[in-house]
Amino acid sequence: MENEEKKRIRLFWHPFLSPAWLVSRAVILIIFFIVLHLLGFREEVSFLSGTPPEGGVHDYAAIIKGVVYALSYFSAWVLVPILLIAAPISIGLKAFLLKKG
Amino acid sequence: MSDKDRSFEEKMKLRFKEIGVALLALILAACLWLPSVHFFFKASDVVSKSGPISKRAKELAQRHLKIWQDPKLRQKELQRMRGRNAEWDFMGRTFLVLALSNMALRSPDTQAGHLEIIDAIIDDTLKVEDEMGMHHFLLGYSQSSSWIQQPERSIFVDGEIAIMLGARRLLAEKLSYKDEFQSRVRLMKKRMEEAPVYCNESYPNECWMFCNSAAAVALKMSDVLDGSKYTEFLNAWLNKIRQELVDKKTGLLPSSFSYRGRIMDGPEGSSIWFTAHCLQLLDREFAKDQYERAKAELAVSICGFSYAKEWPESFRGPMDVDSGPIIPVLEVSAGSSGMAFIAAGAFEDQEFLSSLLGTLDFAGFPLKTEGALKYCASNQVGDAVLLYSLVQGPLWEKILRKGN
Repeated sequence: MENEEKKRIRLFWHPFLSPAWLVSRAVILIIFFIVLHLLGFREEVSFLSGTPPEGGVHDYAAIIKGVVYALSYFSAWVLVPILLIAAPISIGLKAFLLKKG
Repeated sequence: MSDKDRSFEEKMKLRFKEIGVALLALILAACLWLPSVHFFFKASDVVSKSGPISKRAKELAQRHLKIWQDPKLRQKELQRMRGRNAEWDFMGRTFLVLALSNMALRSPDTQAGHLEIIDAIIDDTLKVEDEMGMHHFLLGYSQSSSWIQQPERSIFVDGEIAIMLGARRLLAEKLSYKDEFQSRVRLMKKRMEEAPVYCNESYPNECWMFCNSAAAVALKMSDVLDGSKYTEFLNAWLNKIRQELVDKKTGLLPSSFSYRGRIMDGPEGSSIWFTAHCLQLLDREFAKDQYERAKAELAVSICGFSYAKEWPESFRGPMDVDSGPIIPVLEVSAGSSGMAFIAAGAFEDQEFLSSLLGTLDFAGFPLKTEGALKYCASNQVGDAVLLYSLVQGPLWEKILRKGN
């Protein structure tokens, strides 16, 4: 039972910046983005052009939704691929540099 | 040092080395990925002054037609824009009328349907202007001080209403609009002639090049439609603005100046791109020169994505309702980038337009529902400007053909 628990934790818990850590963070970011997308937060990014949301300039919830969606979208397009590409590069570099050293 | 301590120290060393390797891997990955992102947003739209309407333009138009066919949706969209800037409500109408006119000229079988929407927009605009006055379409400070030229009139409102009427009449004559167009154009010309730099106020003691260029287009339309002889005045206007208003550092026309011609805001992206497009009807060489200079000063390309800054290096102005929010460091301006689409299309700069469209697809958050496209980061006026930039050409060609 305890081993099962440990296995489950290990799925998400990896040494900082290890290849597994890079991939797991990419997966978390992409899942987060997909959830926000499915929740329809895309509609709320009009703040980028200075246009208030449908609820008006004081609809702070919609503005926050828009900001979070925009950040997760750019993370999905910019950060996620970098993390995924970095993982195998990191394995290769480690094998080459550290074993050599 | 005990064995236990030594092994801890070694472990730490190894860990730091691993982190260093990972950081190096992240840098290499970024160098590989960042210049490649734009390949996923390659726009296939082709700039042409005639020919069929692109799929993107059709889908964008679909959304606008829905807005003007559904009073509730229209109310909702206009209210959102008016909450921030009443001018957007007005300009959204102008650019949509211009876009639909071009679409009807490109695809004559759509003319009847588009004329219906164009008339609905014009009738509503004239009604609102009549009932609420010109201030309804202006920012609040239009009533905060007195206008130099009396009686007070805004060339922003007069010029764009005249353009809407002129575009409609160039598409198909409508007698009930003829008088409205002629009287507005006559009045604008008279007041421009009286002004020290042949430019009228858009706001109290504030003349905008954008608005006066639009008024000049309306005067040119009048020559074509009604045989008025404004060419001489338009040439004098061109000479005046070239001699007295052009910014010495950049060679660009400024965005705003006082009634007597004192420069207020220097060259500004949200103004100069459209101004250059208007100048195409009056002096092609000058227009091209303004476009090239604006591109050199304001266009930015990073990793295959293009956008436009609001201000050139030599003039740092504020972030305002015209520029839209400016993203720090990159200096991306929504207002300037939006207007840059028009100029890139008008000057058939395929490379710049494709790159701008790529940026729009990446950072504009397109959303398609039931065949209608909108950009969530934008609004109705932004999408109308974009639509116009994708279909423009035939109307200006018609004016040039008939006017020469």
